[in-house]
Amino acid sequence: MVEGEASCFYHPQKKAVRPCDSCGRFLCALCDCELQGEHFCPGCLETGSKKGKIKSLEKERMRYDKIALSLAVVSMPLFFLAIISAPLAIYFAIRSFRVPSSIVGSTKVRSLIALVLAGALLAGWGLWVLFLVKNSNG
Amino acid sequence: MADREYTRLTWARRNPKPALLSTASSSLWLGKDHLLVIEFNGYTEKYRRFYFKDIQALIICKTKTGLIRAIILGALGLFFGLLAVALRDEPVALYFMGGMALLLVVSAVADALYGPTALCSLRTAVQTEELPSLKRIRRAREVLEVLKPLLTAAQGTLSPEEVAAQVQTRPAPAEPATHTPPAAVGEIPPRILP
Repeated sequence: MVEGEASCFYHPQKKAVRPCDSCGRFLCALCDCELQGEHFCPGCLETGSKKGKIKSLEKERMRYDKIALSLAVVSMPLFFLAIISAPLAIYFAIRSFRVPSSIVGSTKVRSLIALVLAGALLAGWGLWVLFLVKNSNG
Repeated sequence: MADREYTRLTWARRNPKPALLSTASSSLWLGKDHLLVIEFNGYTEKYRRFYFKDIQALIICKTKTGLIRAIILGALGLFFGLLAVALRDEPVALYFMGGMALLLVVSAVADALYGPTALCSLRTAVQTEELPSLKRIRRAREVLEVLKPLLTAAQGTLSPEEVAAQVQTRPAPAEPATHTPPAAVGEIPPRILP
């Protein structure tokens, strides 16, 4: 190291060649990890991989829209289970609007269908309960 | 509308590996600088990327699965057709058996029209990955045609002379281990005594 030169954050005895594009820490040639034109430090690379911040390192995604639709469709013939599965389907459908869907892109049609089906099932349940209450009173 | 990052190369096909009744499926997508294999297990998508610079080969092996399937479907169709003829006096049985026969024969013909089946895998320096979504030779060749210019752009090309030079400079395979010569007559090999 020559006096006045910036040093690597992880190896203070080594000369920094560039900053991390994510956290800005100075990196030596050894710590500089290039990924599709961007440069990351090992820490940011690991964090990005775990939290899915770096798209090209993303390994898996939960498909909430498909879970919601499956739950809603399965609930149709199993009407008595729908009191549990329909709210779950609604929960997953709403969640799917908030989180990114497939990495290759997808529409929100599944979530919308799940919402409609689960809503209809819950409405059916409500009507059935009303019918029971009305009959018991009458 | 923004350009999509990935282009679909194959539709999701059931992955036969995990189990016979598994819902796991696999599809193949073309990215900017890589191929993306998506494996879906019913609730999670798993992504595997194969960068163009790393791909060494797309191996296409013709299989007889399609032919066997077409023969079985055709035979079943014939069986139901014969049953329909035999039970032609019963309208319900005639329509049911006839319908089944028609369905099976149409499936067999459609299967045959799609062309021969194949088992495809992608080879890199460190792995050979099966591509369950590529099941037909015709589709595999189409994918290969799409990939060729991209792989060439990423890896460059070799002239025939360079290929010949590469083959010549490759080290010769190691000689197979030779057996130790049998002991000469009268020469007793050493033995470990208890």
